[in-house]
Amino acid sequence: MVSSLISVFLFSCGVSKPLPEHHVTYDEISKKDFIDEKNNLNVVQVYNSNLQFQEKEYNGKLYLKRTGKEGYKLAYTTDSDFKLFAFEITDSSINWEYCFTKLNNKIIKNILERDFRSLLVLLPLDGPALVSREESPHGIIGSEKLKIYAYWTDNTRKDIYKSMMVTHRETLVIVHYLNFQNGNPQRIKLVDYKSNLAMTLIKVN
Amino acid sequence: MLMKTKITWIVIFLIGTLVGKGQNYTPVETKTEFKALLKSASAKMSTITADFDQIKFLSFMEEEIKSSGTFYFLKPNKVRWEYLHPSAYYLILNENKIITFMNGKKSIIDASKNKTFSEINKIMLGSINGEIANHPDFESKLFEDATSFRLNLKPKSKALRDVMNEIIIWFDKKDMSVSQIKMMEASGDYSFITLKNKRLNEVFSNGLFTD
Repeated sequence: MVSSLISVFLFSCGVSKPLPEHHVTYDEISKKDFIDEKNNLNVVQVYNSNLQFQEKEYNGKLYLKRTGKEGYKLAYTTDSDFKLFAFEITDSSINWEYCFTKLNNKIIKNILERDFRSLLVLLPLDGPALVSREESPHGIIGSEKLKIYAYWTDNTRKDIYKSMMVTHRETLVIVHYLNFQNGNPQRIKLVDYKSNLAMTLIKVN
Repeated sequence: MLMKTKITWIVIFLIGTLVGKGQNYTPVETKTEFKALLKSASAKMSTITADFDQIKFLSFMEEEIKSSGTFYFLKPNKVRWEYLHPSAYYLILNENKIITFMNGKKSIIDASKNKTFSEINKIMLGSINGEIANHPDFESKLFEDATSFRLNLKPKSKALRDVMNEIIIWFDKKDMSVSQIKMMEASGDYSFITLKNKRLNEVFSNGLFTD
């Protein structure tokens, strides 16, 4: 399994698709617009993870905890709950707490950092700072600094929407956040076009 | 937040003191009698069914994640962990296969193709059927109190030490069945599993270990 995971991360360095054309402007929206007050940010969020790669399936768990305004602690385990890696991440830093020896190399860690940062930036635990009014009815949030933008397919925001992560003018990953409850996505579908990888996360707690 | 952290560590310390070390446990110098009892009990047992509670401690997050469900063991090497709370999914160890069903997707891993995961599979099975007491890759120390044996195992090989620091298994003296398992990972995390309401030799379908 570990060797397969290594392959997954290494293969994600493959050929990319071009960035779709779009033009956006931003203005501020209220945090209350987005966050349910019942959401307890300090509680560990647990997701069952199903990873598909080259017609094979791997199961595991993702543990996620908010540590501050822009920080998250994240741990990823195997299906039998042995930790593969854990780190604390913000939009500008990463602090590795643990990485299983067979995954512990710079290439893999850089890919993990890039992908999970992008995913977490899109998680609406802190609400969006920016939104586009131009492409109404589709709302857009994102981080101009990180070149990460999210596109809703449903303008009600509480319901189904999907988002897109864009880095350096290349479409790397599309993330769909589905079925919100208390401000947290109950299901996340991540598709990595470079490596033909797909990950489904379903909230457990 | 600081207070919560302190309370968490106090609770962990108390659990470690009361459960991990055990106030009345004394060392058992020779394991001959223990192994004989284990072998005899194993000969009489073909299946185990039990409820289980699991605590997964994430050291990095200073959090305990609790789950529970039903456990099935079919001699000699088939195990099904049926998680019911907080969400339903299952993990099956069937000879060299690890089968999981999560998020509506079934995953089958051939553990024999990966040395590390093959060892983890063996450890989990060996912890349940007691065969780990004879595992040559572990240093073991045996302790006992009035009602149970406690076996502390430390891996000798680097491959195993990369994954795990120590396994502690509690055996109920009345039937020599496993009552608790604590697996301490190299990362500082641990899983603590308590088996309760155990039923021995109940009949159940082989299909439990295939889907």
